[in-house]
Amino acid sequence: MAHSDQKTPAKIIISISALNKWYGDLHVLRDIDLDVKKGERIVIAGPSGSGKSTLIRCINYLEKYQGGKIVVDGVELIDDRKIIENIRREVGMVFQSFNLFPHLTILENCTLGPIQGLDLPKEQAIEKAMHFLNKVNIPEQADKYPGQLSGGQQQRVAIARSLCMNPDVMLFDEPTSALDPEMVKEVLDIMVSLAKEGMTMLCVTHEMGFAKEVADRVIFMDEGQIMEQNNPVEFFTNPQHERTKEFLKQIFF
Amino acid sequence: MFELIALLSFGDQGWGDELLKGLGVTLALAFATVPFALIFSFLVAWSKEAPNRFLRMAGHGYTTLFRSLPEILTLIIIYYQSQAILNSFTSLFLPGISISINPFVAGMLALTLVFSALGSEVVRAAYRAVGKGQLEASYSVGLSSRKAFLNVILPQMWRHMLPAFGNLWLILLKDTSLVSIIALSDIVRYTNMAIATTKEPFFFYTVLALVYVSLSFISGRGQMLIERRVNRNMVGGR
Amino acid sequence: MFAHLMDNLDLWRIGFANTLSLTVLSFVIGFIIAIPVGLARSRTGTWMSRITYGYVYIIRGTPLLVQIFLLYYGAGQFHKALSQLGLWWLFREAYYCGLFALILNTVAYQAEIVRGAVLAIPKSLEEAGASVSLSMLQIFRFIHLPIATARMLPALGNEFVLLLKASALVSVIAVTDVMGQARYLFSETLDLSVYYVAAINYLAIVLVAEAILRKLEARNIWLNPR
Ligand SMILES: Nc1ncnc2c1ncn2[C@@H]1O[C@H](COP(=O)(O)OP(=O)(O)OP(=O)(O)O)[C@@H](O)[C@H]1O
Ligand SMILES: [Mg+2]
Repeated sequence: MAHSDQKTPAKIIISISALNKWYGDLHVLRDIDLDVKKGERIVIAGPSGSGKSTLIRCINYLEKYQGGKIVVDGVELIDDRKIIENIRREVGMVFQSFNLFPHLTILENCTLGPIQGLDLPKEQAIEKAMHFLNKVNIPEQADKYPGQLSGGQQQRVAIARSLCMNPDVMLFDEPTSALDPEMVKEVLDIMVSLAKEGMTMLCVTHEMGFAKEVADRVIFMDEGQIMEQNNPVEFFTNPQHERTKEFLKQIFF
Repeated sequence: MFELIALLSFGDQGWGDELLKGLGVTLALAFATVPFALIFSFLVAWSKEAPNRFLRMAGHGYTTLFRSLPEILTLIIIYYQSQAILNSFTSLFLPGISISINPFVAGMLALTLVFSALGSEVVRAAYRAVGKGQLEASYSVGLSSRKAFLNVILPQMWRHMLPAFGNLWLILLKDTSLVSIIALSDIVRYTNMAIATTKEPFFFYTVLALVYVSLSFISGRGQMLIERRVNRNMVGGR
Repeated sequence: MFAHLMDNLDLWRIGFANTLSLTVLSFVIGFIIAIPVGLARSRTGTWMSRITYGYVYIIRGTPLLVQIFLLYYGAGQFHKALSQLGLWWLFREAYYCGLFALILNTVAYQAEIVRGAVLAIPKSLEEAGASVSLSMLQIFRFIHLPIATARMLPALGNEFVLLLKASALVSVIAVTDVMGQARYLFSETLDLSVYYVAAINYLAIVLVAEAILRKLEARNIWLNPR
């Protein structure tokens, strides 16, 4: 298993060691070791069912795990309400199916977390929400409801909603795979600009163009294991494992 | 305990035969109402979809009215009002003769009105669910609108209507109990008579409740069977 | 023709107040009880769900008329025991007994509405709430509750109308609601028009209730966007 071999002084913000998870008898994560440095951009790829979603969902404890340890910003994730809520404050998440709150306006979607979770005064929360809605290029939709927006717009709102929590890390679980092709770019553009600003990102995605452009590291998962990881140039031009080669062939037809 | 059970025996001592007779009336009333209720449901649904504005308003008014009035009130009004109308007729044309309205018929009429107010909405929803495309397809193969409805639309509507009609049947079954109030000898009325003599209201009403629960249970089973049969035809057609 | 209406205005006023209070009280109290019952119902496989299912099945499978008879006359046999428990007032006083029966009845129907709404909330929204650091309580309050309420609204409105109509049955145990007054006046005057006056009462309440419902539903534009 290839480990990140650079020994740079950059702070390690997520440290996963010997992570194991089962669904009943199904062993979905096997001995995952992964360190993420502050500012690092990681793309996770792999065939369906390989455990990509499960892995990143463990990081903000949307999934429980049975073995190993996850440390986020120096705090170990344990089954404690306060600790989990704190970590979720630092870790933003964008879902494949957007998961916007259908009964709240776009603006309210963005302010609910800051007001209720961060105890931010309402005016400040609104100001912040408008700032990030501007950033994802849809300030004019603030008073609409999610059902009135296109998929691409909804996903951009979901990104803004996460950003409003001032996260240190952003997790993306196939953020573009539920979108019509013509909307993929508008979401990727936002993600690229986030990456350029130095946001720490873990993205599960099959958008290899995105990986080439921004990733520091591409991780290939299969059957619950990290099979291979490398910088994007090496990863795409010189894959080590048979499974990786097969997978890349499928992705690029 | 045994004395109580004995009260349900048949013959002079027990009330079993009377209750059974009452059950027969209850079921007869429910079954006799169904065909009229169905026909009315379709008629009212049709008037709600009619091109004529007044027909549509009448259809909606009908539903609003009978959906809003307590069933017992509808029943009483139908019972006494039809009697009154009949009386004024007979005094006009057949002086000296008095005909009294049969509570069974009054019950049927009232239950039909109540059922079809809701049933017409079921029919309408089913019609929409089948979709305009089917109608257009029928026209495109040269069917008249009557033929299209009977041969293409209606057969497909049953599948959509069955669950809701099953529900309405249960409501109908329970609503038959109201006719005991206008002196029709259904199972509730016989139960009341039994209680008047035996002074065992708790026991008899519990038995009565059990009878209704059993009827619901059987109805539920029956509905399941029918739905399975209808849906099997649908799958087979694919 | 309507002279009797003016003569008996007080009776009608009492009847109207009783019908309205019976309906509103049983609806509200029933809803409060229906929440835990509906939640228990939606946890399939647990013994709580089985018990509540049995309750719902029995109530929905029997006519309200029979339920009222059973409570009012059936309880009479247990006079002593109920007095000792301090519950006799509930069964002796026709109004309370009728209210009790209506509550027992509507809980079964409203629990099914609650259950349907609970099952209709996608799990993914809980996760989205968690991911912006909401606590379980906040997720319930800001996500589950408003979505479920909006989803339940049409069915609850329907149940209110059904309950209003059902309340007319308490007249069989001599509660002086609209129906009870109409039956009393009819026995006094043999004038059929008293029943039409009663009908207008019910119709008016339904029309007002439905207007209010439409106002409430209009606030949930998110349910039918575009
Ligand atoms: N709630 C669950 N209960 C049982 N098994 C589950 C559950 N969620 C996921 N799994 C299983 O765990 C395995 C890993 O799932 P995961 O969703 O992490 O895969 P993935 O790599 O994200 O796949 P995809 O590309 O399809 O999203 C799969 O075999 C899946 O069937
Ligand atoms: Mg996945």
